[in-house]
Amino acid sequence: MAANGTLSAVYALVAFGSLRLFATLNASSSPVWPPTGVAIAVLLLWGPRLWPGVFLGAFVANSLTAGTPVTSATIAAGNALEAIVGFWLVRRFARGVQAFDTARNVGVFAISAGLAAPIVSATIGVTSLALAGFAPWDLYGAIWKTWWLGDASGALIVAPLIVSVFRSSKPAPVGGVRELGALGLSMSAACAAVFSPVVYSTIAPIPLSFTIVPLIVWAGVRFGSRGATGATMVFSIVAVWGTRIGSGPFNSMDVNNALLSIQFSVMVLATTGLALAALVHQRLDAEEEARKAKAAERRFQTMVEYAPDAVVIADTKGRIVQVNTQTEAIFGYSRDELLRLNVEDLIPQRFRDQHRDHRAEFQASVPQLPMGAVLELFGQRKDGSEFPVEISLSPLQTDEGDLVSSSIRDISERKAREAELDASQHQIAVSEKFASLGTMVSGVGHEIRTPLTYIKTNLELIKLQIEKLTKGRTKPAEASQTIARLVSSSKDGVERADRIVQQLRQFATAQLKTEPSALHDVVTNAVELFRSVHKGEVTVNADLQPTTGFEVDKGQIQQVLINLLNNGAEAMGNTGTLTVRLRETSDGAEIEVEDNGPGIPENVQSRVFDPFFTTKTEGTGLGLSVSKRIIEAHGGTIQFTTKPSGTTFTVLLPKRHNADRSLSPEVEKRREVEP
Amino acid sequence: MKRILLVDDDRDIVKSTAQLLQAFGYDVTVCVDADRVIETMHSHRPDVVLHDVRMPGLDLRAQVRAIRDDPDITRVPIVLFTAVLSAKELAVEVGADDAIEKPFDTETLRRVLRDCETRRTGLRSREEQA
Repeated sequence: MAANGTLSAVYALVAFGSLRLFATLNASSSPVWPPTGVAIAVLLLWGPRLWPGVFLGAFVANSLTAGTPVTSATIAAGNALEAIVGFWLVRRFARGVQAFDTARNVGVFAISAGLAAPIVSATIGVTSLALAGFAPWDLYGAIWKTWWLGDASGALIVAPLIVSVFRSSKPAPVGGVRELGALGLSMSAACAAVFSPVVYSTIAPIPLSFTIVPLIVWAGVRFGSRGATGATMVFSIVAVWGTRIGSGPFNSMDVNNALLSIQFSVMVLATTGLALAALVHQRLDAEEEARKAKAAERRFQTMVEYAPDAVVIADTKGRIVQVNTQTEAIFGYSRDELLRLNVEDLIPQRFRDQHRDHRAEFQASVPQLPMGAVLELFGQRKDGSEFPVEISLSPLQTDEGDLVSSSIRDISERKAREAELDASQHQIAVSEKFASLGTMVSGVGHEIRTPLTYIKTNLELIKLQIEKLTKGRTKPAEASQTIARLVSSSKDGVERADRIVQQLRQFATAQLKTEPSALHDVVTNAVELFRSVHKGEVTVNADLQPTTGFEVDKGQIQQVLINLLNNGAEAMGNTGTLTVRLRETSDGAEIEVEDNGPGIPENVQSRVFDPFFTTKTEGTGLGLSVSKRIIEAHGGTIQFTTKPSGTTFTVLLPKRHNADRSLSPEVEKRREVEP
Repeated sequence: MKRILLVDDDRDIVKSTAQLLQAFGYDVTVCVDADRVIETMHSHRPDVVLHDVRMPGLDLRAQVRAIRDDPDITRVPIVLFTAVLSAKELAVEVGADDAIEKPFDTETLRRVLRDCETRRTGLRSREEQA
């Protein structure tokens, strides 16, 4: 509301002044009409909602000048419509307030706001005046021309100045205060020369008015759009005033035509100055862009050059286009050699075809690897030696086409350390295995001696039968029957002993080779082995439900179970009852081993899975830590709950896990090839 | 001494050993349940007990002590009959008279039983003299 009021007041004042000072042909039509520029600039800067201010201002000015309220209202409507049309065209085709940033938009601004929009105002205004009898129809053309040119010059001289004042000048002024002073002095001298009767009458017919052109150019180039529009405005004021009082190059014409001529000249100057300023601005912008691009390029080059990893940039055909120092160091080629190679030359022969396919897939915009994902591969040095590498790929879009940047890290050392760690972990697992094996051997010994006892006794009895037979104290048929029975019983004994030996051997050797087996069978075997060893001491209640689809590493899982059972038995002083449960859950299998010992003391609960932690006088203290690692390698978890009446260890194994994943596959492989 | 009580939960061992002892002229009674040993000793009055050491529910030390504390059977020699190693030491430890390791030699079995008989006879004659 307040904005509309201010606009209407300013508009009315400027319009009234213009009509009073310059409207000579018709009271309502002035060759100098800054209000159009004010209106378009205000609408561009603060929005089209301010059009009522234009209407009101124009109405007041015209009412105070000539005509009836109807003609004033019609003229005001024409002025308002002109502003709206000018605003809309500039916003639509010349980027609104940014119209003076490029030469193209300056041109579009000149056509839409300068040439097109005033047609609306001139046509509506002059027609309404003629219809109402305030303008003779035979002067329609002359009045229309004055109206249109006055509005056009107002739009082209005033609107850019106002917009430039309220927006930052493009480009930023580069000239200093002194230069501005020099420009001012030059302008004053030029204006004086053009409009001083002494000067122009002496020098005539030389067209001195052209001297102003280089000054406007100077202003535009050195002081931006603000400079160009400011200088134009200064010259415009001087020229209009000079012409109005009958001075200047057009003093031979009548005032109206002289003003029209001067306004037209200034319009052309204004547009030229603005376009030049915009061109300079564009040029400087482009230079700035280029400078930034060059700086970015330098940063990129430095980054690549000093990257901790080898960086190889290749085109879509795999040709190496850029490498860094690390690439030379890692692969043993010189930079020149590398730039003649293809990326496939840097990997071992056997991977090349596969790599080509991967590269094609990566480029076919379905990257196998998301940005930054890491791939492990092998690199090949110039001398043909191979080494493990870690590679991350990222696409690079450049003006020269799509490139792929590979960041390559030599991971030989890390791999070696991992292998060492695997080997030592395997060693620990094996030591633990033999430790638990040791504790079981005495129990197994007892179990084997039992069948041996009755086999031996049976042999003794057979010997006695033979003696009796020899001495004729028994009948051959009777002796033969007895001996057959003793032999049969002995064979059973041999099988019993053999079964125990088999179980023990399986336990001892299974660790050394991984072999997937059904979980239920593995648990059952472990329980049977434990039972045979601890017969008479520890009772095992087993509730083993059948499971399907669980393939586990037989040796490892059996080791875990024997370990848990041994721990449970020891917790109960090797007497009592252990309970083993196996059941399938919705997402895996659950194995519980429960003892009714005294529970785990609170102060050691957090350490039971620590390596080398033990409460026993014998053993390695690795049992539970190895068990935990085995279960975790199977993707599962092992936990316990304990209370003074007993402890339950719970092993959860997921339905899907990688049964091939042994504790140390590297070591397994090595063992296989060793003689 | 003719009567032997054979205590073992393994039926195959019991069967063959009992047969062998019978062949040597012993009167053999068998007990496969550790809890019924004292009761059987009372009813059968054996001259020697051959006792397994690992049986369900058996506390060997307590069993030996119970026999020794029972005046009716206190003098019956107890011979451990076991597959554990170091059977002799175990016998000393729990207070048994002797031990036979399974599997056993027939000769060892007969010698141990003879020794028990000798000891018992000697003991009895000393008691009679006293």
